[in-house]
Amino acid sequence: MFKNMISMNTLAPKIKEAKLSFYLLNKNILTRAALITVLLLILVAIFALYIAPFPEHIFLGNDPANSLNPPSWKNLCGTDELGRDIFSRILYGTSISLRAAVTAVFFAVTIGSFLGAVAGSVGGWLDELIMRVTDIFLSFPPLLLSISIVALMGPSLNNATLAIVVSWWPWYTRLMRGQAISVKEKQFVKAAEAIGTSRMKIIFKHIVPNCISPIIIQASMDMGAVILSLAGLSFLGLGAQPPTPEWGLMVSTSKNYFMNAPWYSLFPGIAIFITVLSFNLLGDGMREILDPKTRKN
Amino acid sequence: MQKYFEIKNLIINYKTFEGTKEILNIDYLGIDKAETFGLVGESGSGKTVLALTLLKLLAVPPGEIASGEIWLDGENLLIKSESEMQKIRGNKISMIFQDPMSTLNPVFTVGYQMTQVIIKNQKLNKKDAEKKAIEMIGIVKLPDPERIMDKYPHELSGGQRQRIIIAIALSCGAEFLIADEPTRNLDVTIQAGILKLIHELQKEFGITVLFIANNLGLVSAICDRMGILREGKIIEQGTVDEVLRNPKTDYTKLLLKTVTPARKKDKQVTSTTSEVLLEVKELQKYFPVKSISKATKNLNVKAVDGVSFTLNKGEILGVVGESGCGKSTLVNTLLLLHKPTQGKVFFDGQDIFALNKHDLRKARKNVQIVFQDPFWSLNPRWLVKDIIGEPLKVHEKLTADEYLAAVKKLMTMVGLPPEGAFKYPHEFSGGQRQRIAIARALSVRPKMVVLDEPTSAIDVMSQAQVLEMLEELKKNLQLTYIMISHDLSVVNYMSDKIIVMYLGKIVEYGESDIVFNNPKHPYTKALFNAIPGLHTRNVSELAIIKGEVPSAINPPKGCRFHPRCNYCMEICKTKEPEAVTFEGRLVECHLYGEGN
Ligand SMILES: Nc1ncnc2c1ncn2[C@@H]1O[C@H](COP(=O)(O)OP(=O)(O)O)[C@@H](O)[C@H]1O
Ligand code: SF4
Ligand SMILES: [Mg+2]
Repeated sequence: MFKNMISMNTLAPKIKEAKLSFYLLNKNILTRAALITVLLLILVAIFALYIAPFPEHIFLGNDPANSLNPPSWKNLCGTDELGRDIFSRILYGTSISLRAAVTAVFFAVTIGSFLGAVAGSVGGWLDELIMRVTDIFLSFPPLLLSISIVALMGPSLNNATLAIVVSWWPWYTRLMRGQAISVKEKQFVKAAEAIGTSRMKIIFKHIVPNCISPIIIQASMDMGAVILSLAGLSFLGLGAQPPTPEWGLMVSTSKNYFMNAPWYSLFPGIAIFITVLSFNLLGDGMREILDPKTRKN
Repeated sequence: MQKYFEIKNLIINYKTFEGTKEILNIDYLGIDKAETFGLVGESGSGKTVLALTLLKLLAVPPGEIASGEIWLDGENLLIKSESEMQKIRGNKISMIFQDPMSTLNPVFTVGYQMTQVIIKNQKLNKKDAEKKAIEMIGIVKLPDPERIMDKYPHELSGGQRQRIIIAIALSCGAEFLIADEPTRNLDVTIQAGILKLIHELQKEFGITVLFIANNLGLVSAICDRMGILREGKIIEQGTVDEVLRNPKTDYTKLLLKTVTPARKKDKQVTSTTSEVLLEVKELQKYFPVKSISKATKNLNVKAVDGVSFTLNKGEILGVVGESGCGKSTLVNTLLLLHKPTQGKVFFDGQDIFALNKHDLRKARKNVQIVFQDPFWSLNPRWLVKDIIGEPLKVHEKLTADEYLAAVKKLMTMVGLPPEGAFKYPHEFSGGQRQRIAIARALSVRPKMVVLDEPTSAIDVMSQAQVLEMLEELKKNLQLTYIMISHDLSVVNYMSDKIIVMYLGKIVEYGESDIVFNNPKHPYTKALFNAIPGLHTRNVSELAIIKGEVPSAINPPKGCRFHPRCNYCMEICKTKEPEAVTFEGRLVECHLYGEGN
C-alpha cells in the first residue's frame, strides 16, 4: 500500500511535467500541425494493412490490364507498371520508412551518446581516443560513407539502416560530449562528488539526464534527414529491394514511366516531403520546450 | 500638481497555462525631477517587470497591461506606438540592468557599440561620436578611455561593464535612468564605486533616477525618497528618513530588522571547545593556464597561495574577500574537489590528502558543502526526495520506508513541508532551495559544513531566516561551519573567527569581534567601510579601493595589495610582509611589523 503511494507520488510530478510539455508543444500552431501529422503517420504505419484499400497489392499483385492508370476514386494515387494500387503501397511504405528510421536513429543515439557521455565526463586519454575515432568517421562525407558500407555488405534495407547508424552516431557523440562537459562543471555534480557518490552514478544519474534534452531534439530533427537518406539509398538501388513498397524505391522505379504517368513519381515524393517536413517542424518545436531553464512557470 | 514621472492604477497580469496571475498593481507612484527614488522589494515582487513596463519592453504575451497610465514629463508612455517608444528609449529613458553582459554585444568592441548608439541617437558623424564616446568613458571614471574603446565586453570586469552601460545611457542625454539592481552581483568595493558614480552623475546632470534594489542599505545611501514593493503593490512610500525611521507597515519593520550589518547575534559563549577539528598548513592551489602561446604556457593562476589556519570544534569561521580572491578554491581544495598543489590538511587528526580512495569516500561523510547558487546546486531533473536522500543512498543502507521517513524528517528539520519531497527543485523559491541543499548536506550527520556564499543568491528576508536556521542547527547538531561570503554583514553576524583574503593570501585573521570592531589591515578597513548600511545617509562615506584586483597569475611583488593601498611605503613594493600578531589578531602588513 505504502509502496504504491510512493510510486503514485513519484509519478504525479512526472505526469505534470509531461502535461506541461504537451501544452507547450500544442501552443505553436505549426508545431501542433506537425505533431498531428506525425501522430497520423504513426497510426498509418501501424494499421497500414487494415486501411489499405488493396492490401494484396502492397508487395505483389499483377494486373497488367490496369497498369499505369491515372488517379481515380478506385485508385486514389493511380496504379504502377504492374497495376498495383499506389495509394496502398504508399500507406504501407510509411511503416517501412518509420521503422527503419527509428531503428537507425535509436542505435545512432544510443551508441553515440553513450560514448559522448563517457568521453565528456571522464576526460583524459579516453576522451582523446573516443574523439579521435569520432573525427575519423566525421571526416567522410556521410552519404559516401553509407554508400561504401552498403556496397561492401550488399544492398538491402537492413544494411542501409546499419550504414546510416555508422555514419550518424559520431554527431551524437560530439553533441553529448559538449553537453556533458558543461554539465560536469555545474554545482550539483560537485555536490554529488563531495558526498562521495561514485563516478558511474555521477555520469549516468546526474550528467546524462541533464544532457538528454538536446539529444532528443537533435534526434527528432534528424528523423526527417534519416528518412530522406534511406529513401535516397533506396533510390540508388542500395536500400530496399523490389518488391518492397519503399518510397525512395518507388520514386526510382517510377522515373522510367515519368512521361506517361507523372502521378507515379509525384505521390511517393509527396509522402517523403510531408514526413520529412513534419519531423523537422516537430524537432524545432521541441527545441523550444525541452530546456528547463527557459520555463520557470 | 503633476510630478515629472507618475504611475497611475497600473495593473499587469501574467498569463500562464495555469491561469492569469496579477503581478503588479500600483495605485500611484510619483517621482520629482532630479530626484533619486529607491524601490525596494524581494525578488519576485515585480521590480523587473515594472522596469520593463516603463520602457514598454515587457514581453506581451505572457505579460498583459490590463490598465493604467505611465506619465513621463507630461506624456503617457503606454499609449505611445512602438516607433515613438524607440525614440524615447535611450534618448529620454535609459536602463541599467542587473547583468551588464546581457546588454552589451559580446562580438563588438565597447567603443564600436558606444559610437553606434551615439551616431543613431545624436546624429553625429563617426569621428565626433568616437570623441564623445571617449569623453563619456572618462566621465564614468574609467582609466585610459582610448584603450577601453578597443576592448570587448568580456575583457572588462563586472564593475567596468556596468560603468560602460551607464556611459551609454548618459551619452544619449537620458534624463530618466532606471537602474535595476545594478550592483547585485558586484563586490562591495565595486558596488560602492558604482553607487558614488550614479550619485555624482545624478547631481551633475540633474537626471532623475529610479533605483531598484533588494537591499535597504543601498537605497538609504543614495536615494531621496523610496517605496516598498511587495507582491506587486507599493505598500509604503515617502522620504527615506520617514520610511526608515518610522515604518508604517509590519513588512517594512521586518525588513528593517533583517538588515544585519550593525546587528550582532548575542554570542552566548557557545559550545566552543578548544579541541582542534581542522588544521590547514601552507595550502596552495595553482591552476595551470590553458594557453597555446609559448609566452603563457607554463603560467599558473595562484588561486590559493600559502594559507594556514586552525579551526576548533563548534566554531564558525568566516572567510571574506572580493570575488576571485580564492575563497571558493580554498574550500573546494579542503574538500578535495580540486587536487591540492601543496600543503597539508588535517581533519580530526587525519591527513586527508594521504587517504586512499575508499577511506576518502568514508571521510567525505564528515565534511559537507552548501553552494552559493541554489539554482545549479540541485540536479534539476531529480525529485527533492532523491536530492536530499542522495548521501543516505551512498553511505547507508535503508529500506524504502526508512529512507522516505529520513528524508521527511530532514525536510522538517530545515523548515520545509514534507509534502515537497515529491516536487522538482524548480517549484521552490531560492530560499527554499537553499534549505534543500542544507538538508542534503546534513543528511549524513557531518561534523563540519562548508557554506560557500549560502545566502548571496537569495532574498534579504529569506536570508535572515536561513541564517537563523543555520545557527539553530549548529547548536542542535554540534556542527562546525566554514562560512564564505562577500557580504560582510552576514559573516559579522555569524562567525567566531574571520579570515580576510586578498589574492590568494590571508591578510588578516583573528576573533571576529576584534577584527570587525577594529580592523588593522588597510584592505580590511577599506572592505568594511564600503558596505552601505542604514546609517549611511551619504555615499561619500563609503570607502572605495582604487583600481581593480590584479591578476592572480602574476601577483604584484612585495605586498600584493600595494598598488591599491593608500598607506603604501617603499618597503611594501619589494618585501612581502609576514604575519605578525598585533592587538590580538594576525595581520600581514608592514605597518604592523616589529618596531611599530
Ligand atoms: N577550475 C579553475 N580553473 C582555473 N582557474 C580557476 C578555477 N577555479 C578558480 N580559478 C581562478 O582562481 C581564482 C580564485 O577563484 P575563486 O576561488 O573562485 O574565488 P572566490 O571564491 O573568492 O570568488 C580566480 O582567479 C579564478 O579565476
Ligand atoms: S604592507 Fe604596505 S602596501 Fe601592503 S597593506 Fe600594508 S601598508 Fe599597504
Ligand atoms: Mg566563490
